Amino acid sequence: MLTPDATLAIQLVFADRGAGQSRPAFRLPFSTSPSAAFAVMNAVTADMLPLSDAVLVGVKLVWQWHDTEPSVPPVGANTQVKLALFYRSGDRYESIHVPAPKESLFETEGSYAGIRLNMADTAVATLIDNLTTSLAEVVDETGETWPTTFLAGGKVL
Amino acid sequence: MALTDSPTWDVSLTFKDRDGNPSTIGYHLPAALTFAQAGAAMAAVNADLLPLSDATLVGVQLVLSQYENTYPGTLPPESSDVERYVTFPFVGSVKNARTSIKIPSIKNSLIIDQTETLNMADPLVSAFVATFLDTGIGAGNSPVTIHNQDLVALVDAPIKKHRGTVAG
Repeated sequence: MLTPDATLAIQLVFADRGAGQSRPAFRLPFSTSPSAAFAVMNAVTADMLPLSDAVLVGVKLVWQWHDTEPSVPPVGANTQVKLALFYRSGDRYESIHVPAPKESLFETEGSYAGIRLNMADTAVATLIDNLTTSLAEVVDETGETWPTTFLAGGKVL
Repeated sequence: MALTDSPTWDVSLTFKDRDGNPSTIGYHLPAALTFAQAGAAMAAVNADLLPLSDATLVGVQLVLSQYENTYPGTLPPESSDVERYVTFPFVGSVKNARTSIKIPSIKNSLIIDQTETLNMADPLVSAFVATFLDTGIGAGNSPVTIHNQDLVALVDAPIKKHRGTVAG
């Protein structure tokens, strides 16, 4: 079960004239809101920057959760194997790669046995429909809406 | 400095297989979501990803960023060098609780002449130490140790050091 860390990390990115970078960090209570964390970051860096002749080029607020007692995956679970799921909207395509996919997701007969997602299986189709629905909140790195039409899925080695 | 808000929350999931091999995948959520809303959306996606995988989800990161969108618009001076740094060691309110913050490219004018020691009498240095101990924004809004313990004092005067080149 995932539990939150005690603190969130504020990671600063400094750059010098030669484009070398350094990433000092400090911590705040996990419950600190984003706006409060940015306020603290601004207060700290306001007094930090006069000590340095590098420039601040980035900031990350990082909240983390960890499973301190993770369950042992079943025999055969291999994160080097992925399930690639492809989505489309108009002429935009996106994909998501799920590690160590369950073998029960794939076709069991034919040329694509063990490779292609078995969408004829209603249980598999339901799992994919559920994920497609929850991905409606997801956007790409620019903030544009994630494509919502599921195209196909298969195993990637 | 012209830091701009990232348009997204960045979610990163770390899975491990039976042999302990990690695999990380990520996706983005709109930055307009509150922390609670982003957490809920992340939980919904994760709950629908997990039934597809035999691996165990061992860690999750939710990240909100700002970045310099004009870089290198603010070009640092020739004297800047992030490999030159000082580390400020702070002690927490609980015995043996410590944390530190590194300041890269420390200005040479702040180092005591003929030593490698930071000049603690300089008002810029004392102002930074005071702010790091208490930002003045209010309770719970100042840096803490990794175990969420308040910081109470600077332990030693920082010493200027150099690290090996890793970039640039």
